[in-house]
Amino acid sequence: MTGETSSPSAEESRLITACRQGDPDAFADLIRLHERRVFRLASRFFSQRADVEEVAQETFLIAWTKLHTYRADAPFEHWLTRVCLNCCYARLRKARPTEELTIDLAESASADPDARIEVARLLRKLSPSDRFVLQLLYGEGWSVVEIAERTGWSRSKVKVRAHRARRKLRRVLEEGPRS
Amino acid sequence: MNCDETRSLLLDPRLDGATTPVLDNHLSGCGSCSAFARRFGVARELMRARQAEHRPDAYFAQRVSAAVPGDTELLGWAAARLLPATLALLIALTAWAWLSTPGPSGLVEISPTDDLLTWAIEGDGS
Repeated sequence: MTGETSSPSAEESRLITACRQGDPDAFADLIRLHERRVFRLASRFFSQRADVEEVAQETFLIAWTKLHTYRADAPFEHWLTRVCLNCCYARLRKARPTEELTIDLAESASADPDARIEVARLLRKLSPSDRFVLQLLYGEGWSVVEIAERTGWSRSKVKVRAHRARRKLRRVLEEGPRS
Repeated sequence: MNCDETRSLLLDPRLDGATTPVLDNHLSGCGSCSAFARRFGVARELMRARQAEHRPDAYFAQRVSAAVPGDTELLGWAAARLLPATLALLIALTAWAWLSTPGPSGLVEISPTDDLLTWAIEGDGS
């Protein structure tokens, strides 16, 4: 969702302008341009289709109400990524610790199944907030600067949260299977 | 390199799973850190594993665009967002009014009722 860095295309700019004037048809077209990316991003944090769809819907509804804050000098998809990530984060914080960021054990092929189950159980001990940050750091491979840019958080906030999440990850990995 | 430094280095995202001779040297002689490294490797792999990607159905955009709030709904939405703050302000004002109002005994002390009654019945003596 964040690979492209181009400015909005002429068509996208036209749709954004029309949306700002309250045109719901233009908004539907704008959604169609970005819905796949938003679903893909939300799928990184939620395994249930209903959750992904609700996050995507919330992302676009917030985009509609906050579109006046978008500055056209940056790619629209970056702005939308920020909205989507913050929706994911807000939803994860409301979830119980064992719920989301479900780990798909079948998708990771190399480690032995017992080790995967054991580590997955350890990771579920982390809070959703910590797992969110760890997912961005290790899962997406984003740096502190990239996380700050894509979430809208300050760099110091990202550093603090990343440090705290890594410390907790270290603790649960050190405790190991006996805990 | 001790165990603490080794584990910190392993968790550094910038290392990204790469190893260094000094790290390998410690891991080969330390069972505890070696187990930690294995668990962390699995954890990183699990976080990188692509989960099933959900895709929007053909009517998603239509549904969402139909649900966009109009101006009236936006006002309602704003009112709902402001409701907690309004209630808190109301409670604070009520508490302030309650606390700053003297009790019955205090009212008697400052009440001019007796003087007024005397003045009304007896006049000011002139």
